Amino acid sequence: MTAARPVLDAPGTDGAAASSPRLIPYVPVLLFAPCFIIYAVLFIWPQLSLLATSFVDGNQWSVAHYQRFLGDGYYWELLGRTLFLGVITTVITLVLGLPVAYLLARMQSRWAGFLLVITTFPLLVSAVVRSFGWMVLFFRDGLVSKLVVALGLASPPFQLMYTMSGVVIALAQVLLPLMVLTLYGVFRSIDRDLELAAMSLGARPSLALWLVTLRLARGGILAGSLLVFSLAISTFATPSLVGGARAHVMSTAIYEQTIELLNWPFAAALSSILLVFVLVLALVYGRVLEGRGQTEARP
Amino acid sequence: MEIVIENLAKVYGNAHAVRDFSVTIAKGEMVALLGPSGCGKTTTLRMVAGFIKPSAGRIVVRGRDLTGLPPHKRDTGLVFQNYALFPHLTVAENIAFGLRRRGVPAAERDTRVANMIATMQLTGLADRLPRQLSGGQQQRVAVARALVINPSILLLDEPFSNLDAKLRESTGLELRRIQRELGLTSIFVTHDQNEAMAIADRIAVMNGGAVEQIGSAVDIYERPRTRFVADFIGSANFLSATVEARDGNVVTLRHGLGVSVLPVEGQAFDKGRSVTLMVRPECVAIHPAAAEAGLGTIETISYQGSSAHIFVKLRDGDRTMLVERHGRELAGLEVGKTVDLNVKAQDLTLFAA
Ligand SMILES: Nc1ncnc2c1ncn2[C@@H]1O[C@H](COP(=O)(O)OP(=O)(O)OP(=O)(O)O)[C@@H](O)[C@H]1O
Ligand SMILES: [Mg+2]
Repeated sequence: MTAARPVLDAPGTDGAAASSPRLIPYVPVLLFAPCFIIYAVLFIWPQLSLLATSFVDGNQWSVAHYQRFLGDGYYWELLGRTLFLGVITTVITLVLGLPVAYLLARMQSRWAGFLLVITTFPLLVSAVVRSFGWMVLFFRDGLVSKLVVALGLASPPFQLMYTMSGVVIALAQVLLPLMVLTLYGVFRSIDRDLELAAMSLGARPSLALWLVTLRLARGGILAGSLLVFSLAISTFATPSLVGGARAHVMSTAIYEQTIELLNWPFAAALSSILLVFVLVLALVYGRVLEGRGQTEARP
Repeated sequence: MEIVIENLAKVYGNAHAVRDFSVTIAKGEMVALLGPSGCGKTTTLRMVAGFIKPSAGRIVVRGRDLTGLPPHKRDTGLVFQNYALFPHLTVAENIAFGLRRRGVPAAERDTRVANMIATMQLTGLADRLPRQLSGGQQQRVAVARALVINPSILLLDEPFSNLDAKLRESTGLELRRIQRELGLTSIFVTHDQNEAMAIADRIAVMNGGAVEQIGSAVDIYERPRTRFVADFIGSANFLSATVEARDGNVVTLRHGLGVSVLPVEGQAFDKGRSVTLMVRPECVAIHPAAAEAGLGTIETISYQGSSAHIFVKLRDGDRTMLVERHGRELAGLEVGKTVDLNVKAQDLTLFAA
């Protein structure tokens, strides 16, 4: 391409050196291409065909599956339960993860790295295995179920297995490391001197934390929450193992429709509805981030 | 006294970051902490600000013992090395931050912020975010933010280190003018001796966590108390010498450039003792000499415009002397020429051993 073009450069410019600046505008495209191709082939295309499947009934196009969903209170409840699971899991991991991530990020001891590894260690064990672990603890004779009874929080025959509470506890534990990792990175990127500056200007440590560090961490907190929320409403292993048929959520319903009832178009409709919620959240998140930095901090 | 710091110390494990640091600072005085990297300057400043808990010692400001107080109750204005401006707040909001924490009414707050913006020549930048400012402007915002609260002490940690050389000097002098006008008592950290000498009333030279000498720039340059200070501030020539005779408080010393007679105090200078003499490069007189009569030969001449540094290798031993001359007084001095060197007794500083 370069060789075929007439040499327009000033005399004395050698061809090889002149060709590279012309390529520079394409570098971002070239770097972006592999990722985009993988993304298109492995995500966008299957997603579109999934969407298409959801609009097929028998041999013709139809919105019957969506009508079925919208018309049946059971499915509304299913969706509601799924979103509730997402919200409550996000809140729990946020409340537990924020202080841990903050302390790990601010720790100066040489144990900090080790503690971070310990915190994120559960990620190395598959969610299935961790859910099995919780099952052992959640059955009627399991340690946790017995503890709940012993504390007087529930009366005997009681077990956390096959309950939403059980699913929430297990899922929060499964997703906590992701929240901690995300927030850790965020806090590490915020200069500790900013907090010290706020204190030297008269802010109590808690106020300095609130007005400066947490304010600056907002984007990261949102990112972590979005990550945990999307995973919580779409994850399958934990709700399926711990919740079973009595604590159905969208993902387990999709599984049931696909594998047991072989109603693929309806399963596709359920998947698409779930996806819409995640997409809407991602858009809201993007908008909130855009507004960041222009806003004033008011005590 | 405005600020009294007594025997301040900080120990990490078994390493002494700061030891036995004591200084009294008068109202409106500016003291520089000067020393090589790792000598404990930042640690000292942060103990005064309250970010680091001292292992020992006291910090008393206007008669109030601050030692146990948390930073937000200390009323110190601190300028950080990297400025630490709040990236999410505008220039005006950054400056107003401390006033808000003190509950200053909105109207008064706005006036004080506006005045400070004018004083620090930040007019027109009030609504910008820190990342939209140049380094020099950020530095002025950091100073403005610390000054607007009328702190009882102003602390600055290498405030000019991110500025280029030209801006550094003018900003330093400007800060000095404002600090004088407001009568602020101030401690500032630097490892740049020119900055310390140009700006500070007094300089505390630190080494290995301890203060080697506190005094005016002239004191420290002309009358260094330790070899470290002599070496660290400016350039120094060290000569070994022996005491040839002592008569009361007057000694006769023989050294590489001849014989000098100096007044002394103390026991360390008895007859026969080896001592060290220090002389500044600009105090050494240099003359061309006949080949066999000269004390040394010129090795290198480094011409720097207003001055020139001449390195002379002494004939006895392998010592090289640094001589400073005006850039226009180099007649007859060339590399390889034999020269004579002379020093006056009053320009010599004597160190035991
Ligand atoms: N948290 C800490 N734990 C252990 N040692 C520390 C700690 N903070 C500082 N030190 C040590 O204390 C000494 C003094 O450090 P300080 O930061 O005060 O030096 P400084 O004079 O400001 O140096 P510089 O000019 O490089 O900024 C150094 O040897 C440093 O390694
Ligand atoms: Mg320092």
